[in-house]
Amino acid sequence: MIDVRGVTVRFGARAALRGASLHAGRGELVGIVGPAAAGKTVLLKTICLLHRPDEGELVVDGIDLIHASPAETARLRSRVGFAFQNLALFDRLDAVENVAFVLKRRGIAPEEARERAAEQLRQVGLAAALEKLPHELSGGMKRRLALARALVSRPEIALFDDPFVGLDPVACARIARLVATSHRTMGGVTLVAAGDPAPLLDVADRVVLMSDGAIEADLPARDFADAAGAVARFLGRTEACA
Amino acid sequence: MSKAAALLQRVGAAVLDGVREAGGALVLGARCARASVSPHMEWREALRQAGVFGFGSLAVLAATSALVGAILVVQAGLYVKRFGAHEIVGWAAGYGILRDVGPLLAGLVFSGRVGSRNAAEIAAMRTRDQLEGLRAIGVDAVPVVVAPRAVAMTASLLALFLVGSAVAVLSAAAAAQLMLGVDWPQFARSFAARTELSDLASGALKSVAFALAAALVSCRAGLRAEGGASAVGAAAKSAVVRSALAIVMLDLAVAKVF
Repeated sequence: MIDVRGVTVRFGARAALRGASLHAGRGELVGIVGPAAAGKTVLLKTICLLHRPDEGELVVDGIDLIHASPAETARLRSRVGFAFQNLALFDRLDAVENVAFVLKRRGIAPEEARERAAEQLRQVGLAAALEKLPHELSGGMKRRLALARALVSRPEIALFDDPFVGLDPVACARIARLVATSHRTMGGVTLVAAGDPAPLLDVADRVVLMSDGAIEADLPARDFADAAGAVARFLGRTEACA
Repeated sequence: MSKAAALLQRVGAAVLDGVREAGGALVLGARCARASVSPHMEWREALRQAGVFGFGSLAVLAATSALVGAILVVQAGLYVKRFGAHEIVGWAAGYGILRDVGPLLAGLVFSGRVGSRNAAEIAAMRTRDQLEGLRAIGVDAVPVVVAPRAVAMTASLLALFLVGSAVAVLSAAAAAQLMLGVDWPQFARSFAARTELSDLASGALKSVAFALAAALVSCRAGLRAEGGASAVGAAAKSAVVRSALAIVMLDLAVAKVF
């Protein structure tokens, strides 16, 4: 469903992605792990064309996105749910409106959008926070709100950029379960970037290791824990897979 | 490189930057104009921002206008007394306030207060991925974020110019009575007899032009922000400096035409 083939993305002289290749088929949940500045975020943003590749091919569901028309790009984006590392929540909108915004922008009537948003928030455990503003929520609740917003449109392609950052292990496990549950329900493809692979090992099908803009390893999740030490030594970054 | 060549290079770079800025603002203005007639335009947001921008600036603008009205009369007082031109004080104050000082002052105060805030807010949205979040779901930020602010800033500054001018004229009348002995009826007769509707129209036109300049320059400063908290501050500073320059240059251009 997602084919990234030898993609390079440069910001000025610096290559944030260096010939990265990744395939993720329908039904797969893939973890993308690596240290800071490894290129995880850039890879996710490139998949929905928030960054344009300088080289390589990017094919999603058979559509060559690099040469796609604006209409094709817009159609793809309507099938994507993206939870940003920085959350990207709207400060002045309460939780329901933050989530409903996506639906309203896709032409769904305001009342129905609010109902679906409220239901999605209940599913991520935010039933008591429907009318709270983002600044009234804890870090974990904000993450779940961002998750709800990414999932409310039932996306075929769900992209989560480090949904575990700043959370304790219990909250990480809860978010990982939510991601896995939504993935099973929607049946599309889910990519989850994370600095720490631990929360993903129980839920992901595969784990991809990135370093310095390149993909260094692509392993089944069950093998990743065993290989992590060796990979880390190879990369010289033991903290990456600690 | 010689000093002259280095200076020439810096001047050339500044000119190119100015041309780029003007071009970028025009393109953004065209996108805002198109957005304002599209069904995706967030008119509720425009109304909300107009309230925030307009009412938020009312007190400071009224206070400044009152002082400026009085200053105009004090400065003109020397010549009024020397030539005994008491009968033109009302007109002179009205002409100066409506055509020149009123819109320019309102524009500069507004660009400093609202332009910097606008740039900082958009920069914060950008650095927190809110604008990319919109793009990721296929939403253009112009009709949702930029155009409502441009419309709100334009409507606010026009209203503030009218209120500020009224305050400045009243303040000038009070100063004329206190300092020059020109009573209210005399001031009002002079103002009414010689001030024309075109003076008000010129001031209103300038206000709209200044507001658009401040809006587009500050929105662009916010949209181009890269980095963290320092980028927000840099965007605010850039908006204030560039808006002020744009307003003064527009003032010159409009004064030449009208």
